[in-house]
Amino acid sequence: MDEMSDEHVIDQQIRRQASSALLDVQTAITTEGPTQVLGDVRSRVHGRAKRRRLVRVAAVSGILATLITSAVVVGHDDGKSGVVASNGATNGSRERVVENVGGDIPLVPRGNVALAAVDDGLFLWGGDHDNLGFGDSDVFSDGAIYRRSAKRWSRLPLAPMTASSAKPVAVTASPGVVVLARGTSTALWLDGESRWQEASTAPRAVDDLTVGGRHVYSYSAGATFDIDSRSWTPVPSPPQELSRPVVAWSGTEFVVVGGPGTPFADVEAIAFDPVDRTWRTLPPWMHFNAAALAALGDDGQVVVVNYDLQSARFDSETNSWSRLGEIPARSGEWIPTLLAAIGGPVVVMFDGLYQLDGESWRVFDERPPQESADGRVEIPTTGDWLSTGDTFWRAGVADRQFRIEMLRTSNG
Amino acid sequence: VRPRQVTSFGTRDQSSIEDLVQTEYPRLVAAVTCVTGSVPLAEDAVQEALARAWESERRGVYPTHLGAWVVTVALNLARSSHRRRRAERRAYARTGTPSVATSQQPPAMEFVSLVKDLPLRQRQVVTLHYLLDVDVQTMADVLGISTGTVKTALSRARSRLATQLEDGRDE
Repeated sequence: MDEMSDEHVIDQQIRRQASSALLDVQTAITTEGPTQVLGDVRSRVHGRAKRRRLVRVAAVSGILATLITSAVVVGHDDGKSGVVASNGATNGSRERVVENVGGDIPLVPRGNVALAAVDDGLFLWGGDHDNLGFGDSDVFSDGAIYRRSAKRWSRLPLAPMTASSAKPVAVTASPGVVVLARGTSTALWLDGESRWQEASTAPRAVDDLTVGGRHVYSYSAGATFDIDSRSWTPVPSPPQELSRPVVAWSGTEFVVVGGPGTPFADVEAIAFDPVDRTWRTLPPWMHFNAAALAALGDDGQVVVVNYDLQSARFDSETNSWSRLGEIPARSGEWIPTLLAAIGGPVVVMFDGLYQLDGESWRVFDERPPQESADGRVEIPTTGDWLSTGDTFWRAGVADRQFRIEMLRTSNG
Repeated sequence: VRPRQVTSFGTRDQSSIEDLVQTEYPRLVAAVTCVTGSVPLAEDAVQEALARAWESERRGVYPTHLGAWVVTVALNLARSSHRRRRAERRAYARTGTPSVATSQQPPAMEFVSLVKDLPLRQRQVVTLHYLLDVDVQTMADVLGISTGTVKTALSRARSRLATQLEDGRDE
């Protein structure tokens, strides 16, 4: 009886909170009017229908195009697997190869995995599976390595990691040494010796890991990790807390760019020197939306992009920002999933690939291996991504199958 | 203040989506906002769910209990951070100013923080039951599960929320 009464009290409490919240939100927000909403919904439905028609048309022409281009470039590939495409019209010597290497992976399909580069391949660990959207997620604590030369997967031994539902992160700290963290738990994978090493726990949960020289830094953990002593050392508090931070190594400092906490406020940038272990605030820059940023450090410079198709570069030598040209992405293509240097050029990925050429951006590859409605690169933005050298890796699940894609690019 | 019943549940005619938008749209967006904490995300997710209902009807498949169905689909869609960023961007492009964030409404934020760690299914039943006053049978129909499973999910959610409410009082 008491239990029932307790449950009733809790029920009433939750109901009061829910009612109060609902009333509060309804009073505060202004939604679009019914006519506008129905117009938006119609646009979505009609837009998708039109897109499906275009894709059907493009699929036919794409097959023809692939047949033609494969005949030209297949000699550069092994000729056995993957889709090969070349955009002879604009970048005659450049080619892209997409290959699914996930077929034989000895792991259950999952998302939110930690990816890192190892010699001649890919390190993949952890992840979760949300039971098709219902109920609690299954969290995995196993992993595997793919060797490109042997074209095969092998399972990793059991990692000395504690159980956690946090998303794991991994980074290649030096050749053959991968730092893996999940929550505060940390371990090293020594690829040459094919074994794990235990490491100390981080002072806070590790959501990000960035390598700079011999330093491994995590903004979320507020600490640096030393691979020799396998231990974390807290860093001094930053001059300000940044929301949605992105971190890049400039060559001498870890540059952290993020927002002050409110959506659509200008971003701020701070930098941490891992040698002096000091912070500084970078000079102010132009108006730049805070959300959905990606940053990449390269030879004393840091390039930052946002989803307003804006980009800027910070030069450590002059200690100043300069605005870069607008990224020629399509309308609606505003989410930079990854910013990476592959084969030399800086590339930003929204739904496509764009290359920084001096101060301006240009389309990296116009002929997609998968057909797109308007003939541009169509790259899935879901899954987990990693760029290594000349290769993008993407791990995702399609039709309940693990799909690990290798997207190689080369400048020929 | 008790939330009033969503009137469109269980009704079906040619203009059901239009009716739902005319009568319940702000309320459905508000309910999803109470769970996601973001107005643009909620609006985007509800509109996308409506579009999917529309497409489904064009194929001759009519979701039963349309309002509950839309909220359930919207909650599923709103889990994607990709969608969150896009929704914020759309809202910004449309108005030129940030949308109203729930951070200015403490009761709403309290509820958001209360339910944010619940597993998806428990979040779904809590939203439908406490925010939209949907009965157990309707939830079972919409979620495609038995009424027993709905009751179990509700009971587990209550237990977790009770712990959180007690912790909140202790602090």
